[in-house]
Amino acid sequence: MGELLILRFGARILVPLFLVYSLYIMLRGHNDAGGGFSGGLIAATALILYGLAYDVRSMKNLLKVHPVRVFGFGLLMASSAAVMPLFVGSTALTGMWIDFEFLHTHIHLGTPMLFDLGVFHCVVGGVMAIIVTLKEY
Amino acid sequence: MTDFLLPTIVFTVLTAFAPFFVARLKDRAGWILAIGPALFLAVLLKSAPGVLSGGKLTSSVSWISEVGINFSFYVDSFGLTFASLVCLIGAFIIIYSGGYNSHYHYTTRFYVLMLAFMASMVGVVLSDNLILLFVFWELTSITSYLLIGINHEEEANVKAALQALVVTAGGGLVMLMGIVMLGNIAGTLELSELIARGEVIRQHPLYFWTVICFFVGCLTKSAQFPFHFWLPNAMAAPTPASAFIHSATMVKAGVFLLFRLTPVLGGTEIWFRVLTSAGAITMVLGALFSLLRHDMKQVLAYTTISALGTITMLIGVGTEASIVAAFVFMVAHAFYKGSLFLITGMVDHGAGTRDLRQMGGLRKLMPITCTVAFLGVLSLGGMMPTLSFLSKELMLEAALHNHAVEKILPPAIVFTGAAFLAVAIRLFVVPFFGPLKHAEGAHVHEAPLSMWIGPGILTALGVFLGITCAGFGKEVITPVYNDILHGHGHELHFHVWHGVTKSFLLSLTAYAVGVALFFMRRRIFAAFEKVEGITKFGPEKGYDLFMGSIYKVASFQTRIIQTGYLRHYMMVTVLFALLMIGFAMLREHTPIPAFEWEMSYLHEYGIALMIVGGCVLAILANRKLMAIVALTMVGFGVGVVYVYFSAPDLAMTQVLVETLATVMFALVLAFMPPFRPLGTKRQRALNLTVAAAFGTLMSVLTWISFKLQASESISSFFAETSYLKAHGKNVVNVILVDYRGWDTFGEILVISIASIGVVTLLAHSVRTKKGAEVADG
Repeated sequence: MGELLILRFGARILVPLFLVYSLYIMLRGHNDAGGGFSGGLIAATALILYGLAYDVRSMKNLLKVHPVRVFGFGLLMASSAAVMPLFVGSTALTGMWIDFEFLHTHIHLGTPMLFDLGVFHCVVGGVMAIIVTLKEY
Repeated sequence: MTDFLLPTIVFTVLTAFAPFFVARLKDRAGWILAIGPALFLAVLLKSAPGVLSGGKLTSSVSWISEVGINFSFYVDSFGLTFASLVCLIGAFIIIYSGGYNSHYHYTTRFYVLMLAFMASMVGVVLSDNLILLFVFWELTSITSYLLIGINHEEEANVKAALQALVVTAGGGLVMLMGIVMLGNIAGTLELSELIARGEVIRQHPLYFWTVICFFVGCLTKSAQFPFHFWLPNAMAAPTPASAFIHSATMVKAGVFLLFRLTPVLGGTEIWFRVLTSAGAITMVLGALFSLLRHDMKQVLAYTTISALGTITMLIGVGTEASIVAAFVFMVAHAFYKGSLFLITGMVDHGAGTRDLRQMGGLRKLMPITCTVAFLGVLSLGGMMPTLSFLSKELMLEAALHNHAVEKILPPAIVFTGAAFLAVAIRLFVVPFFGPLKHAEGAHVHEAPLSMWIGPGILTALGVFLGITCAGFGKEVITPVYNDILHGHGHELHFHVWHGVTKSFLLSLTAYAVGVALFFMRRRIFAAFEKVEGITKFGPEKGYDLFMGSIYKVASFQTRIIQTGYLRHYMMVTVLFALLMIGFAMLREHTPIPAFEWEMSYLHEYGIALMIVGGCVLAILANRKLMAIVALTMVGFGVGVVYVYFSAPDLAMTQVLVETLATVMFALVLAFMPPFRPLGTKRQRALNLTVAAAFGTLMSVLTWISFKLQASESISSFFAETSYLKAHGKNVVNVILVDYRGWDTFGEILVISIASIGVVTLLAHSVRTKKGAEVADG
C-alpha cells in the first residue's frame, strides 16, 4: 500500500477529471479538436491509470459491465445512427439534426453525435477488453 | 407496402425480446412469439385479393444504386403464396416449439434463430433485387447452420451443421457469380425487369455459365443430387427446426428461384437436360432410400429430397402443365411434410424414440397424434381427395403429354408414388398399431395442445384444399401460374375426379405397388443390408475428400508460414511492402524531386533530435522500461511534428495513442518475458538492413507526396461544405463522422472484432492453462 500511496491518491483525483475531460473532448469534437476517438482514448487512459494504481479487478468493477458489452453498445449506437436516416428516406449515415431550447440554452443535437458516442464506447470497450483479458492471462 | 411496416416492427421487437418472454413464460412463450409471423400473415392475406387479381406491390429504397443494387421488394401472387406459407407454418411451429422445448437446452437461442430464419426466408421470396435475394439466401443458410448445430456439445451435430453450411452457402457463392453475370448481360438486377428480357439473356454467349452458376446455387440449396447428402445429416437439428427449415421452407428456396427464373433462363436445352435429369435422379434415389431408413426423421428427410427432386424435374420439363403440377405439389408438400416432421416430434416426445423398429401400439395412448398422423400420411401417400393426390395426377398428365420424357418419367413417378405410399403406411401403421412398444423408461403421453394444433390444422388444410381444388385452382393457382410464366389470361380448371384416365390408372398402379412394397419391407431391409457398403461411395465421399484436402493444405501452409514469432511476421510484412512498392516505383520510373534542405529554425532541429534520438535510444536500450520510454519519445516527437504542420486533431490523437500505449505497457510490464537480444549478429545485421531500407523508402515516399500535388486538394471541398452541410466547424471530425462515416464505422467494427479476437484467444489459453494446472495438481 505504502509505495503506491502517491499514485493512488493522484489517481483518485485524476481519474474523475480525466473522465469528465474525455466527455468534454468527445462533445466538442464537432467544432474543435477532439471527437469520439480522442475522447475514448482519454477515458481508456484514465481507466488504465486506475488499474495501475489499484488493480485490474477494481478497474473492471469500476466499469460495472463486461468490456465486451461496452463496445457492443458502442456498435449499437453507431449503427443506429447509421440506420436512422433510412426511416426518413435519406441514405444511411446522413446527418439528422434537431434544434431546441432547453433551460434557455440553444441545443443542437444530431445523429453524428450519436455516432461519435458509439466510437467513444468502441474505443473504451476495445481497450478495456484487451487489458482485462491480458491481466487474466 | 406500407402495411408491412407494422408487422415487421412487431416481429423485430418480439424477436429482440424473446429472451424476456422465454424467461417469464417458459413453455408458453411460443404463443406470444408466434404473434409476429401471424401478424405478417394477416397483412399478407389482407393484400391477397388485390395481388391475386393481378395487382403487384413494390417498394424500393436505393442502396448502392450505382451498380444496380437496391433494397427492393416485389409482391406478386407467387411471392405472396410462398410468403404466406412461410408465415403460416412458421407461426404454428413457433407455438409447437413451446411444447417441444420443455426439456431442451438453448430455448431462447432456438426461438431467436427460428424467427431470424423466418424473416430471412420471407425476404428471399419477396426480394426483387437479386443481390438482396442473395443476402437473404445466405442468411437462411447461416441460421440453418446455427440451428443444426444448436446442440453443439455433440461432435456429429457440429459436423452436420458445417456440412450443410459449406454446401448451401458455397452453392450460394457460386450463384452470386451467376447473379453478377446475369446483371451484366441484362443491365438490371431486378427480377421484375429481368422477366421481360429473357430472349436477350438466352442468346448471350455467357448464358451457359450464368445458368450453370444458378444451377449450382439452386441445386445445393434444394438438396438435389449430387449435393443431396447434407439434408439427411441436417436432421441433427431439433425437430421443429427440421420441420420448418429442412422440409417446408429453406430447401424450397432453390426450387422457388428456379420457378422465378423460368421465364428468364428457362426453356433451353441445357435447362431441360440438367434440371430434368438431376431432379429425376434425386426423386428416385430419395424415394428408394426413404424405404430403407428406420429413423422417422431420416425417412422423412429422404422423402423430402425426393419431393424436391420431383419439383426440380417438373420445372426442368418446363411445359405449362408441368409448371402447374410443380407448384401444386410444392404447396401440398409444404402442408403435409412439415406436419409429419412435427408428428415425429410428438411421437419422440411421447414414446422416447424415433426408431420405427422400437415403437408400436401408441394409438390408445396418443389418440390425437394418431388422428393428425392419419391426415398427414393421407397426403404423403397421395390418396384421394388430398391436394397431393391432385398434384400427382397433374404431374403424370404433364409427363405423359411430353414427347421428350413420356417413356422415362411416368415409370419414375409411379415408383416414387409407390414408395411414398409404402412409407406413408409404415409411418402410420408401425408406430400406432400392433402391440405396445416404446423406449425403455418412457412415460408415453399425449402431446399438449400447442403441439398438435399446428400439424392438425396444416394437414387438414392439405385435405380441405384437395376437396375444394376447383375454387383454389381458380383463385390462387391460376394467377400464380400466370405470374410465374409471365403470361396472361390463362384460366386453369381442376377437379378431384378426372374420370378413368391414363394417369388415374397409373395412380392405381402406384397404390398397388406401394402396398406391396409395404408388406415386403422386411425382405427389402434384408436385401439392403447386404449391399449397404456401396452407399459409402456416394457423393458425400467427395465432400469428405474435399474438406480433408482443405485441412491438409491449411495445416501445411500454417506449418510453413506461421512461425509464431512476431519478428518473423514483421519481417515478412516489411519486406513484402518494400519489394512491392520498390518494384512499382522502378517500373513506373517515379520521379523523385530533388532533395532540398528546408530546416531553418532551431526548434525544428529540436524536434528532429527528439525523434532520431528516441530511435537510437530504443535500439540501444537494454531494459524494457527504457525501450518503452524511448519509443514514446519518438511518438511524441511525431505528435509535435503534426502540431507544427497545423494538424491539431492528428497531433492530439497521436499524443493520446502514445500515452495510452505507454500506460498499457506500464500495466503489463511485470508480466512480460525478460528483455534480451535473441538474434545472432547476422540476423541483427539483416534486421538493420531491412529496417534501414524500409525507412528510406517511407521517407522518399513522404518527400514525394510532400512535393508533388497531382490534383487539386480535396480538403478545400471539405473546408467549404463542412459547416453548411454537416453543421460542424472541425473539418477533420466532420470527415470522420459524416463524409467518411462508413470508413469510421468499418474501423470501429475492426477494433471490436480485434478485441473479441484477443479476448477469445487469450481466454482459451487461460482455460487450457488452468486445466493443465488442475491436471498437474
